[in-house]
Amino acid sequence: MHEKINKWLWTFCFVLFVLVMGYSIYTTYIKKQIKSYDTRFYYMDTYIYVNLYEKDKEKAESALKEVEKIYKKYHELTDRYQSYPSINNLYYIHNNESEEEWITLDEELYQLIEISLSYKEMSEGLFDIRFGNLTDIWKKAIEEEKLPDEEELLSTKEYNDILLEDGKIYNNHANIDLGAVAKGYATKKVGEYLKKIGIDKFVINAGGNVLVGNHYGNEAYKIGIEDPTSKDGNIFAKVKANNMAIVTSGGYQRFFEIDGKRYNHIIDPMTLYPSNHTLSVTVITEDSLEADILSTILFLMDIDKGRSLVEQLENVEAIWYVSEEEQIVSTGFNEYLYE
Amino acid sequence: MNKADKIVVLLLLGIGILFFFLKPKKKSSYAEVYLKNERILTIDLHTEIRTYTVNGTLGKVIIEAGEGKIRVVEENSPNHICSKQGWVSQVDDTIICLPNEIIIELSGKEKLDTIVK
Repeated sequence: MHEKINKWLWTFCFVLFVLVMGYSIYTTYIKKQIKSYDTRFYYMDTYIYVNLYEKDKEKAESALKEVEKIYKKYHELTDRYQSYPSINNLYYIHNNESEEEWITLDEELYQLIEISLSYKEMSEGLFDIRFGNLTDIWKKAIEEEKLPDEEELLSTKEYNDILLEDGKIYNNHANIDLGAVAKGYATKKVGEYLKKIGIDKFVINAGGNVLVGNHYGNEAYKIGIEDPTSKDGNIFAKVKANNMAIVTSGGYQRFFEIDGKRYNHIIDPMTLYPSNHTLSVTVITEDSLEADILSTILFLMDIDKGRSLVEQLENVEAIWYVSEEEQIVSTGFNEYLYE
Repeated sequence: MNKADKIVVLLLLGIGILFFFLKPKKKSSYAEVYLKNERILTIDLHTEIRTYTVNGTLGKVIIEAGEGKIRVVEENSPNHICSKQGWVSQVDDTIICLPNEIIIELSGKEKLDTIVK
């Protein structure tokens, strides 16, 4: 009798073991599991991080290479400081010695300039890509920690207008600055590319431009928003989202101080000086390009005006970190917040 | 069941347990630094390698983090256990600097996917 129970017990253990081991071999080595693939590179003056979740290793790896190519392409098209062979980029538009009256542009660059111009009215003139000179003056000021010359600033009011027609730009050497849209646009294109090839689970972080796809489990991505007063990169808010772009504009990373006054790198084209309404503003909406443009507009805009602008727009929410004492959210922002 | 059977079963059970622990791990996207159980720093690992300095109970603890990994470079402690540990990068990995009362947790309790700034 005793012998029999013992035998049954061993058989039971054996069967259980075979099941557990079989399952564990199956999930680990046979069934293709979703795995994480990531890469990082430096373009557009920023560190870009891309993380895909995919079953097929080769597909993920070739996609990551393609993604880098896309960022490189927009980096070159929107580069204001260097020309590249066989493309007419922003540097070329500004510095070319061509006799041509009109310059043919890459379709994407043409479109990007066109879209950027369309936001000028909505922002009441605050979003203006024609101020490359102004950007340069303040960039130098921040490097030297010295206020720019008033006359020099005023001289930027005489800029060359941008004229577009049939894929071409009028060759008046306009000094175009797409710094506030290039990352958002490239990230949008990357998101579209990934979805097109069937990779819908991803996290992209391109220097303040976050874009997330579907979640790899049945959850939502958790994104921390950095506290602009923290030197150590602490976060002050956490949001949950899938298939959304989250973009922060802040003046707290590049700035200098004189007499207790802070001068950052986001310049108001109306006053010709850096904007100081808020320390940072974060926009959440589906379109990464729109999020990028709106975050710049809201950073430059008076907060009350910005709030009513956000309320008018559909599916756009924002959070302002005005100061340590004051943080403001738009009506629907709380839906994304957690904890 | 004779002795040989039992040995075989035990052997298989051992292999099974091994498989359980050899499951692939996940890379962490950020780390949290705790001093005496209080979070004092959240570090994004999706950046280039940067240096961070925190104050432990025995003095400065210098941390390097970025490109998906983190390590302690310098600290004051008798055995330097946590700086000898080197780079860590997997979810749920920890670096514990006991004399300094500093704990570094990868993808800590909140498990954020990324940080926007």
